[in-house]
Amino acid sequence: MNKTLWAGLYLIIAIGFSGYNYFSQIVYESKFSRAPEPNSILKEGGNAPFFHSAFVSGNLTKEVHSATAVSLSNGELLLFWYGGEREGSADVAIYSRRLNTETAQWGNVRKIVERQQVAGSLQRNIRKLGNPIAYEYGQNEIWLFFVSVSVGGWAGSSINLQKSFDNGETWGKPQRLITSPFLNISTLVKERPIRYQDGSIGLPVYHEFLGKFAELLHLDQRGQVVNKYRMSKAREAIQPVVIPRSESQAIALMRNVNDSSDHRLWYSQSADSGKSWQPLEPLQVPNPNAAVTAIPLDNSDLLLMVFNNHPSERIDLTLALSMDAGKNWNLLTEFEKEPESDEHNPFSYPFLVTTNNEQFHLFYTWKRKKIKYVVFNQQQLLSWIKNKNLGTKILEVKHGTISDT
Amino acid sequence: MELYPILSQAVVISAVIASIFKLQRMTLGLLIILAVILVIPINQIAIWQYSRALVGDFSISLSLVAVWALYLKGQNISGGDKINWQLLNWIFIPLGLLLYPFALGLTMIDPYVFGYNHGLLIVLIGLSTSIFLFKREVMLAIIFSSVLLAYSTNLLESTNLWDYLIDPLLFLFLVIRLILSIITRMIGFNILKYKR
Repeated sequence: MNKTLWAGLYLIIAIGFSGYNYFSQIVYESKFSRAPEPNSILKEGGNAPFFHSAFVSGNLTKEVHSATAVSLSNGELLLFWYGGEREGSADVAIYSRRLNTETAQWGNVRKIVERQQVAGSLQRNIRKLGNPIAYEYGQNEIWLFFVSVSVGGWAGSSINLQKSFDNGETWGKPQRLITSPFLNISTLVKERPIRYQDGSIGLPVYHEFLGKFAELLHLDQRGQVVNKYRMSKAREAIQPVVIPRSESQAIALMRNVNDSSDHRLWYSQSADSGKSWQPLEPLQVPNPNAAVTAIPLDNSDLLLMVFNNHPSERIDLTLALSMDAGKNWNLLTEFEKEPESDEHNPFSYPFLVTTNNEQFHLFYTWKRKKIKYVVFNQQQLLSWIKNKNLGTKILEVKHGTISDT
Repeated sequence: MELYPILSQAVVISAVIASIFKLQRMTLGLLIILAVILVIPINQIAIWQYSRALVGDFSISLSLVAVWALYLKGQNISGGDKINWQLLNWIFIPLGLLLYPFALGLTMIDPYVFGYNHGLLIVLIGLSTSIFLFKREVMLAIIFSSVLLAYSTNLLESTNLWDYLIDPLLFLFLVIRLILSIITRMIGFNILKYKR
């Protein structure tokens, strides 16, 4: 038999395997999963207003950054951040700490991901580690996404996924997400994933090499990339926060990296479960090229956001409420405020998480030295809302019992 | 230890060395020596893991072009079995131009998404392979068939078919080779066949 016939036979085998592989794969036509309706924030009574703040990252490292937390089904809160001699240094590791939200007791700081361990597992040189993001995928199952860099700066990043099946006590080996054809570099993560009805998840990510832009990665139940959807054009936006509003509707808020724009927070909407996104619109909210964090308060249009309320400096951290799904924002209170002449960008990378709207937990980088923790309860939030005379307006959004009196 | 990244690096480096130094014998020996060198650890990380961190995993296409080049060097084969560089240029340079600028954010369109078990790209590769066979381009038919086979057996860590078909190194190599051949034609001096 000549070479061409052998090659033809080989082709038939390859097509056979490909066909089998193609038809045996699950087709993800996913719709957003709706979270169970949390406790309404509009109920009054109960506990007295409560507000507390503390530094929670310990003194193990000189610098810390990029805190993220996940609220677990068992009532605990698991906090993650990265720390080391300085950002990008070889000793940077990812640390974790557990909070019992019932007793308000913090556990010990634990180093859970180290550079050498990641290099060994991924069988490649790793120069530095970066942003972590945690997600409770199932009962006792936590997925931890984090950034690693093999070559260059943050533009050389790729995302890794490491899983725990015992609520974060022990962790498996990391796996690498392949997200770009160009050496798989320049994909980073900052905000939490969203859930689809079929068990797959959407992970908001962003690119930093040449054209900076935002994307939504679609991961299957094993955590492998099965698709991705572009959210912005190049040199406009990064670090998207995606908030589903229905099975098909979602909004996104994004950090503005466009130096020629007037430094306002970007807003976009999707009507097809995140597969396509409308062109970005600038909101009235300023954005000093900084990450924001936002959560839905319930399944109506009420959203809560923490952001830097300044066009060029991260010198404050402000809480704001939206009653129209992120289009307009009302300032509630300031957690931090420093004069412009002080340290450059002292407050950054806020991350807000709620435990069933009973308590709100905010974490952020404080002058790169500490992770600061702010906790307040529902009654405290309601008192800020009332102080700003927003209760009546909320009634227009959702029937409730709150009043401005 | 993963076998494919080590072997593909060894075969690509061997092909480059054999080409530069005009080696016609000992290509298999060179391949074995390089494979051994690549697994030597420095600071607990093997050499192949450093280069993998730098250039990623090679595509099936690049690995097989290198295998073919090395085989031809070893056998000193010429004539009809030579690598059809012109055809490789026509296929992989437009693919790279289509893929990389758009994947790096040129527009909202990203052709890379068609690699996630998308039927269109699989059918296009299958059809192209049939055309290569019809045109007796056996090497390309084997490369494209291998791309499909490797993808369906998850040989690489990527779940995207594009990463099996093309990589930046193959694209850059062909672009540089094309530029050199154009310069050669312009100045009338064959840079690619220059002998010391």
